[in-house]
Amino acid sequence: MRSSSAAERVLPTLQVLAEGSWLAVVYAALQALAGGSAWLGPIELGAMAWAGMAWGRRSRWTGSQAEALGLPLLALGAGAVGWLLAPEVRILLANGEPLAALGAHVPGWLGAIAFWRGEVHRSAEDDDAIQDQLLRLAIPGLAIPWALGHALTSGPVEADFTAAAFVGTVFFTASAFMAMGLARLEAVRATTGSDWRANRSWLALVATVAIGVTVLAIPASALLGVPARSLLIALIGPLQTVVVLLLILATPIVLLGAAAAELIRPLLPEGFGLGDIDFPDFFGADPGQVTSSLPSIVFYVIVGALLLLELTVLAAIIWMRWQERRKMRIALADPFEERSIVIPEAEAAPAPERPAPPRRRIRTDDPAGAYLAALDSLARDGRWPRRPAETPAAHVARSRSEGLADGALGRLAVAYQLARYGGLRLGDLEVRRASSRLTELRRRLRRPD
Amino acid sequence: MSPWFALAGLMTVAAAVTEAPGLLLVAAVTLAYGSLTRLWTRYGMRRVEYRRELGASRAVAGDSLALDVTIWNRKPLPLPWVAADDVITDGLAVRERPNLDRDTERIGGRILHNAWALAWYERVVRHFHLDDLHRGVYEFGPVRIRIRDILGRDAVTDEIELPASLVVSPRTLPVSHRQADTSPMGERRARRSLFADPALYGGVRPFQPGDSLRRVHWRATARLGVPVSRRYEPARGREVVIAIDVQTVEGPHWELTYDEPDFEGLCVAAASLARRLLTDGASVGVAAASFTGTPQRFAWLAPQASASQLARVGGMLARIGPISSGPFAGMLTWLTHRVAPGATIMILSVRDPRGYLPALRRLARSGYSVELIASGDDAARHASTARGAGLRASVGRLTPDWERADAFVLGG
Repeated sequence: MRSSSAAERVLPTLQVLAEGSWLAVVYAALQALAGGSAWLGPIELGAMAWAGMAWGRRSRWTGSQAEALGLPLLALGAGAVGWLLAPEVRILLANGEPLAALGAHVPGWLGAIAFWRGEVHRSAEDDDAIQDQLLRLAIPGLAIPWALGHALTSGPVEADFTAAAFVGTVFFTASAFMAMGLARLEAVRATTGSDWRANRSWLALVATVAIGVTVLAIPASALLGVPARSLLIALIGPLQTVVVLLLILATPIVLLGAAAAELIRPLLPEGFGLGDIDFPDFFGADPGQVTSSLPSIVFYVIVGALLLLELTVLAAIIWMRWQERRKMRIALADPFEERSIVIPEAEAAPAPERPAPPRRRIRTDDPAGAYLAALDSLARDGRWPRRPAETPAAHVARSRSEGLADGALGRLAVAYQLARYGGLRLGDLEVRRASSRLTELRRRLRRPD
Repeated sequence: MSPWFALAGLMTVAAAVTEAPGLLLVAAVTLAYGSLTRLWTRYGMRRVEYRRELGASRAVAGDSLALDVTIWNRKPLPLPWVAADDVITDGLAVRERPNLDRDTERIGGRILHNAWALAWYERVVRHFHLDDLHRGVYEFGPVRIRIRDILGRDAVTDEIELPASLVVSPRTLPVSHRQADTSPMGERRARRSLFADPALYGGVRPFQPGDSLRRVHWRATARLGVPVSRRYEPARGREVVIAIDVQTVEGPHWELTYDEPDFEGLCVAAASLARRLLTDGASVGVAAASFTGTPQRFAWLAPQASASQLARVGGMLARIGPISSGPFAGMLTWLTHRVAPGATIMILSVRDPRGYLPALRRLARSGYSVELIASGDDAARHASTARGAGLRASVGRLTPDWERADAFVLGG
């Protein structure tokens, strides 16, 4: 079976983000109850869940000892990291008050639960089932922290809680829906071998639904008093992270560009100006002025490492693209599956039904007409209708055997046969009785069996 | 009402009572989550077209056959997950699905499982290949279609019959004789005939009183100077019934043990003989004491010489199995009700003929031409036993085995 590297990256990211998001809502509620602000958000808790997932899916250190000790210890570590992320805890520790620090920012220990939730995703094969379970439980379950947060807080604390919980909920909605969709795609791929990366339409659909749900939720909540600040945080928060990451990653390139400019400066014509960048210098500096060269060394090591990392990632991307193209070429050479969008031709509208001919009014004041009206009533009743190839006599016999004990039908049938088949002219008395026999039969039909 | 809707309603009420707007957000998400499935439950199955196209409805053992499965979502609503379980008879090897799951509802059924994610109006064709077909009749259908919503929850299921069958006949091999001077199979010299075949012109003979004027060959009469009439060959259509003894293990006929290679070898031999006989112009029929999926006790195909008879023979040989439906001797006796005396009954068997020799003798005495073609390990001994009883017998061999043989060799 072909591996799906995109799924291996995107799906776990969304899964840990979903786990971190719902935990962020719980954390915000607990912090609000303690009267504090939220220091942890979906990204921080998601990172801890990611660490748990990485531990759960490890291929080394799988011995029983590591299994028994690893999870509790690492979860404790993650909880400690979460606890330490609050500045008040760090200040108390720096002031030498560890006991007081232990009592502060207690909800930060939710980091341990985030780690454990990440570890639950240890098997990629169960992704869809776990994600389904998370959605089923977490969506209605989020109501509890929301209700507690609103009920037990007020003023600025409630506003802070609302902002944090709103961000968590929006992140959860988007990431959990997308993760669910991708997990299902992975399951399809696992069962059929059909690579979902070729099927962009479903990806677009999943993304549309996730965005749609979020977009619907935002105005609804804004209309109902959720602060605009929290809306802004939700939208710009991830962008800020991305911008900072881009700036950090671009540093080596900027420095390389500056170094190249410095090198070509003598070749440039007179008067051609270039901006100056002052590089940290610890080789040719005056020894008397330099107190420590460590910051410069650290700076260049970080920049070098970043550059190496970027080059490695670039090489990996090029290699993966090349592999992908090769696979696509092979796949196209022997296509197992053909996909096409075919809009069916407009189906011809069904011909309008011809209106039924107006019903001929049957005269019931003569024996033949009364018999025909009786047949109509029997057909409408449905219990003893006359069959197409049945003679009146056979019909009467069958009806009797099937429970129509009334003699009116038999007399009407006899009169009809005499009049139509026998060509006899019936007496006035028979003609008068036909109508009353029809009434009698209809009365019988109205009675249940 | 869906519990999700009820939950969302409850949350909305709670939000209004406790003045907690955040709860409304959760209620909105809950409502969205709960209502997603309804969309696909209501509209998912509409205008979904599933088609299965076999490359052919008939094939010969060993062939490969194309099987195209098409699904078409003929509406604007995308289908995130459509799964189709196509039930097929066990025994087919699908190249793209080496392991097919067993069907829990139908004995002897396997499931060709497919799942797709379909965009609006998307049509997907999957090209499967059925490899190394084995003799038999394979049924396709029904197809169970299941549609799930975007979150993978079951939205709607349906079952369509879509029946189809694939008949895989045994392969046919050239039939060769060890002795070159052997007369054609199933054919004996006709010494006299009551009827002449006007299509078989055989020359002229002197005019005899009573000859019709139409029969007089006027040109030859003018040339020879004496009246001569046309002469026709006797009408003698050969009618051969290949009677297959499906029982491959000695013992009572109702025992369920059998030797599969021997039985498959018999089928290949029967198909090869039928082809040879039909090529030679004989009318060929097949009889076997085996079930074919009909209420009939014996498998029976009446003799015919038409071009399509070989396909019918192949179809019948595809349907029979190695389990006897009755004693072979009983079937030979039953044949006298179906075939007129004068026909040749060619028996194909791997068993000792002593069990049904009396029936063979009775057939011979009744005017049938009986010929045993013994096969299997003890073929020579069995043929000799039949010859000892005054019957024609020969040995038929598929060398090295029924799967790899390139000819069916008849010998003494």
